[in-house]
Amino acid sequence: MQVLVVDPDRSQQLLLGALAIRLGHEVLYAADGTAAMQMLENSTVSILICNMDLPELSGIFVTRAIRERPFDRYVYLILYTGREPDRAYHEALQVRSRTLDLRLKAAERVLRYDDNLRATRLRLEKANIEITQGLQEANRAQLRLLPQTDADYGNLSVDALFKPANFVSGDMLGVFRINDNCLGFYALDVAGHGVRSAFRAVTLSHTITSQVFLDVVGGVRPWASSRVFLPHRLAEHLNARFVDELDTDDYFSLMCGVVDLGQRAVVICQAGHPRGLIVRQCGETAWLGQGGYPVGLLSDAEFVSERVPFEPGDSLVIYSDGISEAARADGTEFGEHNIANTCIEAVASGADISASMEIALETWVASTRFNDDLSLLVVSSGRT
Amino acid sequence: VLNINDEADGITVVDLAEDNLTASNAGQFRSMLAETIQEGRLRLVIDLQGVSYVDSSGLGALVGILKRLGAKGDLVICAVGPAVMSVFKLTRMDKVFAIETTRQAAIERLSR
Repeated sequence: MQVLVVDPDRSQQLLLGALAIRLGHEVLYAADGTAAMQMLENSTVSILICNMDLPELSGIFVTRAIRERPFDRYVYLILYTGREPDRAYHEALQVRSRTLDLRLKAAERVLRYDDNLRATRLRLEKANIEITQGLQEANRAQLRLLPQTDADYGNLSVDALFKPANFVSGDMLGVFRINDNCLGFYALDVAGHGVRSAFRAVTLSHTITSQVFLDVVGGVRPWASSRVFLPHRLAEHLNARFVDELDTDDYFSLMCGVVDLGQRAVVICQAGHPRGLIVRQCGETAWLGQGGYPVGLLSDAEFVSERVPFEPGDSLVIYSDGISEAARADGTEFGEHNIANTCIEAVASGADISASMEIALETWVASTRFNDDLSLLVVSSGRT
Repeated sequence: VLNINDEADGITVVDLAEDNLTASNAGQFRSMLAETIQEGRLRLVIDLQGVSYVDSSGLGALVGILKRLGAKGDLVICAVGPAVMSVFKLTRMDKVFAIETTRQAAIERLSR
């Protein structure tokens, strides 16, 4: 260990230094408090043997300064004085001090313990950095699975908000272009939060491929003018695949469907997900969905498809309960009323609904962090 | 998390001692009730008086208890507050669970 001896008298320095060297330490020397503080900053000194009666800065002042400064290590202090009434200390030094000898050994024990603590802390910090980096990479990977808002969706456009509560999200969104006027979509929210829910959400997004969606929801000729979309079949398909009679932890809510501009309709299946909303260019709104069983919870759950008008200029808004239940300090939730108002104002001003919703939510909870995962999907037709 | 009281006719009433049933306590809720069922208490009333919020994990725990009881037992939930009832309605759980307004009504329902 590095020991710093601080004394204005060179012979006293060498006397104390020799004692520390004999005990196996590396010794540095300083003649006053200012030099001692500088050496402490620029070295790994962990034991300070300091005369209380230094010129300029006293030993007591140096002690206080060390204790107030956030060093990355514990600095063990041994103070001595030749002044009365501290005669005992003086005498101890004159006889090369067995007392000082014992104190140095005690210091070694304390500092070895401190070293162990520091090593443990460094290991934990390293592990935390690795876990955080892994989660950040998982976050980026999950974001890459989300709908591209700048892609070509024909006569429709897509806007989305996706904010995990903590790195990765149990929510997922997906869209599938069927033709210029038809866009399939889904939004899901796996029960619980965190990594476990996120794994399941990502698994589901790989399960609900474009082909599966069309095969299950679109029937045999999804591009024909007589097409009929049945999104409840996707909920049935996933329920049959993922329901587990014993484990009820991994179920999820789902809103899926197709916006069909050619037929001036949107067909949806609401499975435990919050209601959807249609916002018309004129500012009118219509809520979609009558409730429905979540997916993966009950083997005999039945799901239904619901068809509602969707005209050019309309926007379909689908969101997870993290948005409707975002609560401010007094516990009041954001709720459907604020969701509708935020969408109406965004449509009226020509702003993106996702950006407006994010600002409104952050204002509501007075934070940029949320307790639950947030997801919002908007499919619009010819907004002007 | 829970207060468990045995009533007449082999009915057990379970009180949630917290004001929410969420990811933070759903696991403990589920395991304590699984133990209760394991002990042979198969006619359960879950009293949600004072519970103002049930999240997806809490809902999963309640359905898990229902599944665990299966055909060999009965479950009635009572004193469901408006916020919790709206979650039940959204997810159609109001059609899955037997629900009564009061604890007494729940006990009477199981006593029939």
